[in-house]
Order: sequence, then C-alpha cells, then structure tokens
Amino acid sequence: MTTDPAPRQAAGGPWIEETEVVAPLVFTTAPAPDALLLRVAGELDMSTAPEFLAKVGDLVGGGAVRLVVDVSALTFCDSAGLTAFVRGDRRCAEAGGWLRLAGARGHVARVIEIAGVAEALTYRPS
Amino acid sequence: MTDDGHHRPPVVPADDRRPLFAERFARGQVTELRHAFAASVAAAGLSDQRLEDFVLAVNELITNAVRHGGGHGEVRLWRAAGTLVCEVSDDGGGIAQERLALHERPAPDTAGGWGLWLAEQLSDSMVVATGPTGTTVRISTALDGAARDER
Repeated sequence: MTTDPAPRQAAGGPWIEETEVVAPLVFTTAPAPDALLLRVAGELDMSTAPEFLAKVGDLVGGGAVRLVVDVSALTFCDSAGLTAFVRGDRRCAEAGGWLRLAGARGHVARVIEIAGVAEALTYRPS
Repeated sequence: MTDDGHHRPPVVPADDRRPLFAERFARGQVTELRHAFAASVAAAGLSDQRLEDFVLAVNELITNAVRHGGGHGEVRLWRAAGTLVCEVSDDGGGIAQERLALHERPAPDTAGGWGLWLAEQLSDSMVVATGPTGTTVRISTALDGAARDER
C-alpha cells in the first residue's frame, strides 16, 4: 500500500526535449552506531543510479565501509536503483563492510520487496 | 518507425486505438518521459498503486529500449475495453529467447535482470514480440482493477 503520490509532474508539452535535465539525487550523511547513515532523496533510475554508486564509492574510499542507506526520501526506485543497491553492497563488501537499506516506504518499499532486495539488504540493527 | 529526427504526429491506427500518449524517446530522456507518461496515465483514470505499478513497468520497458534496444524507441498508450494498453518499441537487435524464457525472480545478488521481470509482475498482461530488427512489448493494466497483491 502506498500513500505517497508518485512523481507525476507533467513534462510541459507533448514532445520531449532532446536534452534532459535530471534532478540530481540529494545526499546527506550522519554518523550511526557502527556505520554511516547515508540519506538519499530524489528519484533513483538509470539516469541517477551512477550518481548513487559514485557516492558509495567515495564514502567507501574514505573509509566508510558500513553504510545504512536511508531511502525514506526516495520517491522512485526502479530496476536500475535495485541494481545500484546490490552493486553498492558489493563495493562495501570488497572493503570488508556492507550496505543496508532502511526507511523504505510507499512504492519504493513495494519494489524492493517484490524484487527480493528487501530480504537481502534490509538493515537489521543487532 | 521513422528515424529522421522529426517528431511526427502519431498516426491513428485503423482500429481506432487513438493514443492517449505517443512519444519517441532517446537515451537521456527516461526520467522526463516517465513524468509525462505518469501524467497521461493519471489523466486516463489510473490511480494509487496501479498507477505507480504501471508507470514503473513502462519505465522498465523504456529503460530496456534505451539500454539494449538501439538507444531509442517509441511509446504509445491507448485505452481498450476498460484497460490501458501500452506499447514500447525499439529497433535494436532483439531480446534473446533464453532471456525471455526466464520467468523466475532474478536472484538478489545478480545485480541486474529485474527490468522485464518487474514489468511483467506489475502489469496484468505482457506480450513480447522480438527479432533481429527490433522489439515491441505490449503491456496492459485494468482501469478498474483492484490493487495487485505482492507476489
């Protein structure tokens, strides 16, 4: 079940412009017990998934190998987003850590559950 | 499909499938196209989870066309007997039969392969026509359908 509206702002005309201005993801970080909390806001799709992976790469490179990704402010997540989560987890695992998801709601929760990614990557504080 | 860079008005098919939405797209237009498509689908009367499911399903088809289907394609939406039908076409090299035969949920650690699978899960029907000169995927959702159970 979802209560959040889908991103559905109109494109402003019947024809799509040649160049797309994609709203970037907004990242904020905060310390969490034994991990770093990475909050991601925006829409995660094939246009923005590389940004997410680059951010994870930067954090892992800086020594933050355990990431709790707060996805409560994600308004959209598709297969490219799911793949980015799994790749991000791999990236962390290569450095001895992990990436886990927290705060999923609405349609984002539905998608990560249907795909089985919730099972694999939901953060469960010990 | 024409590919001369011109946006032509959609041709109305003989069976009066007057499109509610018809758009050609290329790489880098997926997000914007999804927003425009969502607006059309909402205007056609789809709402809540069914709307979000259908938009995600079509988003996956568009993403596939851009990634594997030659980089561009065409999306059309029309109404037919209480359902919304959407067709996404590309002129890429086609989808391998081995991939189409897979109906299992991809393993969570495979880092990919969810696209078509999700499109099928989140729509009421999906038909794929594919060959060496392109792929057309047609999916539908009931306009008055109940929320789909999680599968």
